[in-house]
Amino acid sequence: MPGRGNRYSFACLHAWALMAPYQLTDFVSEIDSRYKVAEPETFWLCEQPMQRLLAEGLISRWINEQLRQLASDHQHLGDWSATEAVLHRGNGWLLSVAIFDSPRRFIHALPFSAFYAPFAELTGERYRLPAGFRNDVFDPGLRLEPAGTVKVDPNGLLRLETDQYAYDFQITQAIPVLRLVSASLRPLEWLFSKTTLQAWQANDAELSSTQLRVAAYVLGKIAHQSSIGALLELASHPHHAVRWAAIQNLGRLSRTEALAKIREAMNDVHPHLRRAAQKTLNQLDKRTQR
Amino acid sequence: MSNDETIDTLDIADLEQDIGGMCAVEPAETRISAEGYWVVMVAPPK
Repeated sequence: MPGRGNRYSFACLHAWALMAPYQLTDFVSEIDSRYKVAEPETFWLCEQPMQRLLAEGLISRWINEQLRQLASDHQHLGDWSATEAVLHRGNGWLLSVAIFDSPRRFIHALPFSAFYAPFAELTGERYRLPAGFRNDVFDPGLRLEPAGTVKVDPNGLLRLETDQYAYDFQITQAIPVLRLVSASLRPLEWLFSKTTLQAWQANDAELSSTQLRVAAYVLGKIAHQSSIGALLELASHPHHAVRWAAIQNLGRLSRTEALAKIREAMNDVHPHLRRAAQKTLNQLDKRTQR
Repeated sequence: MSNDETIDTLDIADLEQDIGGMCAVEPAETRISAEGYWVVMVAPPK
């Protein structure tokens, strides 16, 4: 006859078996309770919920449900693009299934943290970001250092530690990959040459940064005095290229306001702004001396 | 102040490193032209 402890264990097991299967709402609650956007390192606390999500077949159930809804309603519109299906957009994170269908031309140093769980084996090269790497200061003189290979089995989980490494995956056939990604943690996404490993280009990590630079340019072209206040505000934006776009286009509206901002930029935290401000003031000095 | 007033403009230097916009696709070709400008060719959609 089993003892009391065994009966208790059995009861627990029985209760667990009767519980509803792990749902997307359960996963969302777990991530929201673990990941605090203001503390980026808490993203790695999401590994356990990701493991559970994989172990309990939540993705298969979600895909089946999407297909059932499509079959019953042809107008059903999910949150999908040609290469990505979004399961959930959370506060500062996103869960999706993306198709990796072709190798990328460059090695990307990603601006967000991520877990990747491929549906088939995923292999690739890992590179260490160069010494002295500062995400917001693009420097084409920097070069990646090889740091070994990565290999993830189907349903395995890869931590993309993008604050230290860039990854180049070998894609010979389309592979669906479950991705849990944070929102951008850094302002730029760097691209490195695959042949020389040299830094090649940096792009905005956030669409809003690009849009604000374009907006500053348009305000400069329209050149109406009512835009001065907006450009002055943009001149304090956290993204250095937005700040400089605002100052440059302020120069089309008000010489006095622009000069004041250029003098302030001499003490900007970003070295490219300090140097561009110095260059502008030098050019002005040369003209006044003529 | 109205826009009809004469505006005294100021030419301001560019940043030494241009930053690309956020785009959904990789540039098909990126190079520096003979004149020293960045040329970014974006691949047409498949």
